[in-house]
Amino acid sequence: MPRTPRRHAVLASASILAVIAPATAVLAESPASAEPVTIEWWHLQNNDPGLTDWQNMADAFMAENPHVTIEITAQENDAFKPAIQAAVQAGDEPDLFQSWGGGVLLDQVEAGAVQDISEGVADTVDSFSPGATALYNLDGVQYGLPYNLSLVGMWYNVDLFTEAGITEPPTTWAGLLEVVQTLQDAGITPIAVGAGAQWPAHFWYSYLMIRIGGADVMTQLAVDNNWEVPAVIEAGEHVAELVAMEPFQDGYLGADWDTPDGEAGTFASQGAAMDLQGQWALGAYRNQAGLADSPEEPLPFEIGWFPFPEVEGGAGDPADAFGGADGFVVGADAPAETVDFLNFITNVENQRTFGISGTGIPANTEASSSVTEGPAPDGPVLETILETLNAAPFHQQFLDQFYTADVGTEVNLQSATLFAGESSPEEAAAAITAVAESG
Amino acid sequence: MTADTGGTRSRRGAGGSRPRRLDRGISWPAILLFLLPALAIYAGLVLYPIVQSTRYSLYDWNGLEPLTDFVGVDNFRRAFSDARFRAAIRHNGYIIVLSLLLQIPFALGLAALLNVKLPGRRLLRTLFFAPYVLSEVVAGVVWRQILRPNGLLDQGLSAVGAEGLSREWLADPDIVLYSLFVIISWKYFGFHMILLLAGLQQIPKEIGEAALIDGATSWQKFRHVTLPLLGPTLRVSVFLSIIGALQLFDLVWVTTKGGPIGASSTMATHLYEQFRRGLFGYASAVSIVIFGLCLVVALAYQRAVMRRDLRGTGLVG
Repeated sequence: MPRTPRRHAVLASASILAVIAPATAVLAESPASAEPVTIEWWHLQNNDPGLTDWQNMADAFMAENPHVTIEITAQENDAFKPAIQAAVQAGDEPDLFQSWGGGVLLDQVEAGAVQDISEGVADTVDSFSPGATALYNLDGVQYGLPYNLSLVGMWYNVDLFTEAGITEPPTTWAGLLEVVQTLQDAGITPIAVGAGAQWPAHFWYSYLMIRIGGADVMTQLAVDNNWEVPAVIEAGEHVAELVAMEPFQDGYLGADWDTPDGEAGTFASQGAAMDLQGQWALGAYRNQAGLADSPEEPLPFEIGWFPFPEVEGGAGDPADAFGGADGFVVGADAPAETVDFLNFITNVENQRTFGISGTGIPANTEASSSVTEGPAPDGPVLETILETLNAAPFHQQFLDQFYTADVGTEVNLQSATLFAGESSPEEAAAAITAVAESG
Repeated sequence: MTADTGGTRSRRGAGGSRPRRLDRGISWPAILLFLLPALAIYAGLVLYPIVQSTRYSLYDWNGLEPLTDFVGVDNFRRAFSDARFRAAIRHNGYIIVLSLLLQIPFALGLAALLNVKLPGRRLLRTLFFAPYVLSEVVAGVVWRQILRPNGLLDQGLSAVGAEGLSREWLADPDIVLYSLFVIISWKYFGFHMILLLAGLQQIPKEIGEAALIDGATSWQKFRHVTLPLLGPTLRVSVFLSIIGALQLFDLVWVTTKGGPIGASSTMATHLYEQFRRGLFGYASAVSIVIFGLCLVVALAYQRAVMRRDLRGTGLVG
């Protein structure tokens, strides 16, 4: 409700633009290269080092191209999402802005808010992780480029595995269940999960869908809004199978993610042997272990990582990745220089800056080694994650980001409900379908 | 009160040589002028949002797009058939019933105890009242730590060899609501105790003494003398308890966020969830339903139960 006045203001400025537009169109007919242009850039790095690094990149680009002015708006994630929606609605979108691809990008394409940059990035697009660029490619048209990758996988405590006599991490679902049993027999809690926060539970449910259904089913879900399909129901059955073994820490249904009594705290204090989380989890574990200010000191246990196991008989490629990729897309009315600027900030040198500073994992594969160039006291785990990421033929975006807030929240809630053993796989699929169809 | 004011005025009138503004008649323009700021704030911050919410509740709206998708009363139909909203209403209902059955009698008992001369009763009163002074957020955070797995409570239980009584206090969907009720009671019993204590102290001692001389036992004295005379205070206490339970949000949000899986949701946390899902139209409808429900309960209680207490305030006819 406080939004209404702002929306009116946006609409008002849009109508002013509509009046001015014919005049500028006349001006634009003079040679483009010499004309001063302004690129409006909305990004989410509202903290250092990213904030300063990106300002420096913009300054460098402006120095090389004196006729270009870059206006940066850095906002926090939850502030950006409604703001960009309002801007797109008013036809007043920025020239270069944050995107996660997927359903939201599709809406923006249909609203005519973003432009086809296939030609402008033809020379550069192949240097990015193919699964990540695919998120910004709809029907063969490239609308943007990725700059940051994330991947969900299994973190494990190598010391606890050794204690239970497990030498090899599991590669199949059945193998994972065996490992769970072996750990339990050794008196070790197998898995930490923050089902109270709900989204960590959705990692399990989603990854099982991806392994069972594969890229085709995952894509089809978004098209049909029908989740009552065999792959989703089977994924729910596997979740139920795991829950029935009671492999989680005490109070997992009320546990948060990054708190001392939550998922990260449980794993960091060796209260559980495995944790299905994104690549950012290492930082959270170190924080929980009190190592935030000592980057040279390793965790008090050896940490390992393996990809989510294959489900026997599943249609998914075991190398398919579940995670996300942040990217930038180019607004419909953006000046031609915007694509040059996008190529500039995602070039090897600038992506290396992004990686070395620890801001994220560069999507430009030629720059990816940079993440290991900072201090790595816990061994080459991030390298393993990078290799897995770069080899992924298909990236599924986090389901709670890929869909609208309503559907995403329902997926999370149903995941937690399955973890509580309070709904059947059929009921969970039906509940998500009901919300997806109403949207 | 009314009689009092009249008395004051006539007294002043009798001795007054100064001009008496009030007697010169009511100047409506002046009254309007002075009321204007308050009226503007009330209209802007209370009436306007209610009108707007009512309007939004008739649309399918995500908060961003233009208000075009008029759906009539669909959102209300959906609210009443939404199993999660009904569960939330039920949870508020449980809290109300438990408060009336346990929390108020407990507060009454303590008030009666602390009303007699007792060594250290000042200290006890302060101690019992202290939780009420804490903010709900602080109380929620502290209790989360006490009730977490292997937290203070579980450790205390195992220290006395009663670890078998340990439960997942906030993580078990079957228990969480009762855990929350304990926290709410802990937070508010002191407030009700002070209220009832004040009521007890207004009862003239002579009446009780007269009853004892007439041969009443102390239970009979409590039941037939104290309790009826405490009626007005008790009814206010019950009223505040009901209203508080209907509005429950902060404490629940901090402690459990309405979880796990909605097992401790309240009407207010359910409403908040709908806004987070971007369902502004539906959330507006839910807010209107909650508003209506609270209004009906409050008015019905005032008219049915507090009629005598409120006579002369203009709140009841």
